[in-house]
Amino acid sequence: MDIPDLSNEKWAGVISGEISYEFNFFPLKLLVARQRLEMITSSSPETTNKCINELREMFVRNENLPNVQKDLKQIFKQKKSIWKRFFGGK
Amino acid sequence: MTFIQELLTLEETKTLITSGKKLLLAGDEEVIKQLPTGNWIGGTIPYFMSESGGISTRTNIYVTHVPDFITDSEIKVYTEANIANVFKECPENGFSLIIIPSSSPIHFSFALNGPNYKEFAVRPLIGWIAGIHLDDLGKLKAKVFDGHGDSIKSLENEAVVMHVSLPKGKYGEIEIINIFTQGEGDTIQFLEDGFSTEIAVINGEEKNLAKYIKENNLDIRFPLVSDYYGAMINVSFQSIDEEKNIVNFYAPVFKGAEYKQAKVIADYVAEFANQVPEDKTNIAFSCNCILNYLYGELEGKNLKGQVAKGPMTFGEIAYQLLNQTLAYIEIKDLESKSEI
Repeated sequence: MDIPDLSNEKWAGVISGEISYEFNFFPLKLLVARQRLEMITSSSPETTNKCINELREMFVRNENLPNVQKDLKQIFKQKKSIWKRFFGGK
Repeated sequence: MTFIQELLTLEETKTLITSGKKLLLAGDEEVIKQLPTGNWIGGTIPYFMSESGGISTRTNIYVTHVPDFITDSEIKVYTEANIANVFKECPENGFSLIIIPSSSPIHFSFALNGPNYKEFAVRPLIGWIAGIHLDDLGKLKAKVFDGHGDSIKSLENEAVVMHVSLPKGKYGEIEIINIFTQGEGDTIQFLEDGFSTEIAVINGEEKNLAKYIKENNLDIRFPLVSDYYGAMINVSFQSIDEEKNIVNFYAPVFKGAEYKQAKVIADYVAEFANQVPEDKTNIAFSCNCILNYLYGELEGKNLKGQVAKGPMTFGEIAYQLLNQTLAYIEIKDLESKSEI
């Protein structure tokens, strides 16, 4: 799965804690937990943007790892197109 | 792939060093100082979970062989001034092994600030806090060693790191095993980050933590536990200063995090046996906590599985400082993209 760009609103949803996730990728748990504490102290646009950048960077730098892909799909809940569901392939 | 972690004699370790092996070493200072220079880093600690069980030794050295299939390695010493760069300097595909001396300013700095370092947790960083024999508390200092170059550097306030590059198609995955889970007791929060505190916020009410612990007869062998999105992260109690009513910890508490004291565990060996995956064999490094060794009475007892072997340290590092936790890094093969 491709990594959505920074403008995707779900990035902010992760760090705001709006939605609860059970992450598979251990360092992601540590990063988001730290970011949640940071956001509690200050949820300014600067802090939010910094955290979103960090979060996306974690995924970009580790995108080939299986647990990262699982977490990406969990957050962005990508479903296969109807064609793929029936026929598979690209 | 062959992964070796073993307790060796001084002479056996010397042979490995002179053969050019890249090594991570753990042992008593007096033994480590007798080694030749070579491709190694080390730290002081005399407690281990070996193949034959928990053991304390001042004469043997616990040797972690860095796998032969790595493509590159670099030993680097970090000071307080540049430890914040450690994640940025981890190899793009690889992992980094770090050892930091306990109770040093760099130990405290790393523990408090590590989660805010640039590129925190983007790359695998695993290691441990060097310690000393408990009989030597107050007399000796923990040390780390940079074994490469013209002479061995014995360091009291630096971190030694071996950055290791892996071939394409392999990656390092760090995991932890924490036998402690949050109990049903009060929710505890803190007003600021730190290794010690007078005041805690207990179920929303500010109280003196030392008095609270005494009034509620809490057993401080069991750590505070915070839930990091499903990862249970401990903060171990170090001591209570009953004169000043201050509580000291082995890791910092963080403002805003919610802690609960851990559920009581009676049988550490059984709890580890329940959780340690015995079938994992591609373990490049693993370590556990001296507090588990002591409170679990692990001397002479065997925790099975390659994951469970290693130094029993004064703190574990799996991206950040941990307490009373088993940490390990497994080297895996990347599946083809079509399988992800």
